[in-house]
Amino acid sequence: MIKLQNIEKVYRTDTIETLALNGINLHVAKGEFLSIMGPSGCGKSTLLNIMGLLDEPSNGQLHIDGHTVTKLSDKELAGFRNKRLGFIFQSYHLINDLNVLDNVELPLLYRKVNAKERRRLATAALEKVGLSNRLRHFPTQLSGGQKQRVAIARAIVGEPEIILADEPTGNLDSAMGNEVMDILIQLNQQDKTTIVMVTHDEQMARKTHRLVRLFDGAQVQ
Amino acid sequence: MFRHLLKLIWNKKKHHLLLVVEIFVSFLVIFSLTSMLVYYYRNYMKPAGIDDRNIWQVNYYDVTKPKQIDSLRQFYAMMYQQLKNTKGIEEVSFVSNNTPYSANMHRSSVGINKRNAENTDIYEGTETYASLLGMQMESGRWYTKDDMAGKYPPAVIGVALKEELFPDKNAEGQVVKVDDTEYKVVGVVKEAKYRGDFQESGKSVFIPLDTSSLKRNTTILMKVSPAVFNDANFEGQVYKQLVSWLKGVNIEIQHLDERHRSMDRLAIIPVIILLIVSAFLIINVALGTFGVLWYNINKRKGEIGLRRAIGATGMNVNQQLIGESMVIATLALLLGCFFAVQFPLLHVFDIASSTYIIAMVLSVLFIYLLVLLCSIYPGKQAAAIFPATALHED
Ligand SMILES: Nc1ncnc2c1ncn2[C@@H]1O[C@H](COP(=O)(O)OP(=O)(O)O)[C@@H](O)[C@H]1O
Ligand SMILES: [Mg+2]
Repeated sequence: MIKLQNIEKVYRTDTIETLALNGINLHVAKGEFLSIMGPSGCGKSTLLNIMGLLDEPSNGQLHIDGHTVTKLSDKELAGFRNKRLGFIFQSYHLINDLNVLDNVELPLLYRKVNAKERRRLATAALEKVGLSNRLRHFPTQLSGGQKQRVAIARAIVGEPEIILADEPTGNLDSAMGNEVMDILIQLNQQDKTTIVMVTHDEQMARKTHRLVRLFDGAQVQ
Repeated sequence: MFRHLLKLIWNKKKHHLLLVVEIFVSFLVIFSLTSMLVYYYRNYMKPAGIDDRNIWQVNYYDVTKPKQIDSLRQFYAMMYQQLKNTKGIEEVSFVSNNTPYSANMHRSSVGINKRNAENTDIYEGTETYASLLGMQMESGRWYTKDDMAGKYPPAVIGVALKEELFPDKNAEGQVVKVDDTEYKVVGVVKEAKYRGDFQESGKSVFIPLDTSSLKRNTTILMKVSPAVFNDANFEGQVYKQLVSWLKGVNIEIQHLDERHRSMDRLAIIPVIILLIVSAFLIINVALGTFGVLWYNINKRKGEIGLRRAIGATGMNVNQQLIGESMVIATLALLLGCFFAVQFPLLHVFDIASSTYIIAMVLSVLFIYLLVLLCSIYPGKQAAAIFPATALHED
């Protein structure tokens, strides 16, 4: 499903050059639930961003579902992200000026979906994460766990094949973290969604199919 | 997408209030300015109706002094003959002091039966008045001495008054009431812009000046030949002659074209003031729009990054930011137009509605253009942000 070949990423600022990723080779199978672990600053987010087409690798090849996705135009990249990828972030990235329903509808705004259909799909997605009673709430009125569930609903509303989650439980206590984790496992098992998750939590990682460890931009396991 | 923009802005209305108010106030000031400019322009494009070249205006004050004058009519007839016979003076008219380009006004309602035209300017002058000022007839003729013998004294009315009183019939032969005296209309004269190039001519009626009345005979107009118009010697001679007739009276000779120019300059002053105020407000709106978008880009990097992540192109982000400022502008303009439209609706000033409508359209376009221009650069900047960078920095 996702194939990385010799992926390198170098960040260049005026004074320093950081080698964030150094020759990553990785294959994520369709329907797999993969977790990535490693110390802070080792390049986990960078790797996830490259898989999510949010960042370009400095070197190497990336294939998703048989498509070579390096060298796509901005418009093609946006379309690809919109239809095939769903993102979940540690800090949720909800838009505070929009209510829960509007936040979840957001990905559909960048597709040709009419308002009624958007509403229906968003409501269904929120039902899946158990938040159908919070449609008109604003993000500031929700707990961390609820916010992350809204973010998951937003990630799955467009029915993507791949979900990329960057420390989705990082800001949550263990109870709320487990709730979120359960939802992800369910998505993987029921909808066969491929999931790549970055985590700091060994326990969470153990619940996934496979664990990849990074150290200083290189794969160690 | 438009609904989405509205929702975003509505949910953040407090945040945008200042900019809405700024745009609203600017719109009103720009609307006043453009109303004035449109009004001025329309008037400026109309013919002057007056030939102000080579005309002296003699003002004399305190006419009650020359007590030796036994018969005023005879006295004025003598003055007229003597001046007319002076080489260099081509025409002379005794007129009321509301001459062209003067600040003096004599206004009243002029009417027939129950139909009254309010705020009509009443001008008085001897029969040479129109020819001296180069005024053109629309129909009929100017009054002459012979008209005085009739039942009603004669009057000439301007086109605007004719349109109001006699929209679909001949004015000639009609009787109008001016200041409680009835006059018979003998002609309609083309509009003459008495208050300079930029002001409307307004409704006007011209009636003979009674030279036996002391009060109103304070002004003489003289058309002189171009050769002597600026000749100080000649002016001195005429001045001495006048002093010898009007003993002990203050006399002043002015050039009508100069008065014309100074009146036009005066009309420009409010435009300049409004221009300065507008410029100040335009800068405010420009900085405000720019500032809000700049703030948006920096404070909403996370949102921008997220939108990119879920499928927005750089162009989508750009359009969203520009769209948001256009929605804010629209809110302010709706409010502004609501107030602006009251001017034609309530007839606040005696100005054609179309002038306001044109000014409104121009002002709306101007504000949109301004906001658009101030949004283009920040929008472009936002579009160029790399999604990973935007998400990282939040
Ligand atoms: N936009 C950036 N510019 C410069 N350096 C960056 C940028 N993003 C990440 N880095 C650097 O790359 C390395 C890997 O970062 P990251 O992938 O965020 O690590 P992790 O998610 O594992 O904590 C770090 O040293 C970080 O400082
Ligand atoms: Mg990270």
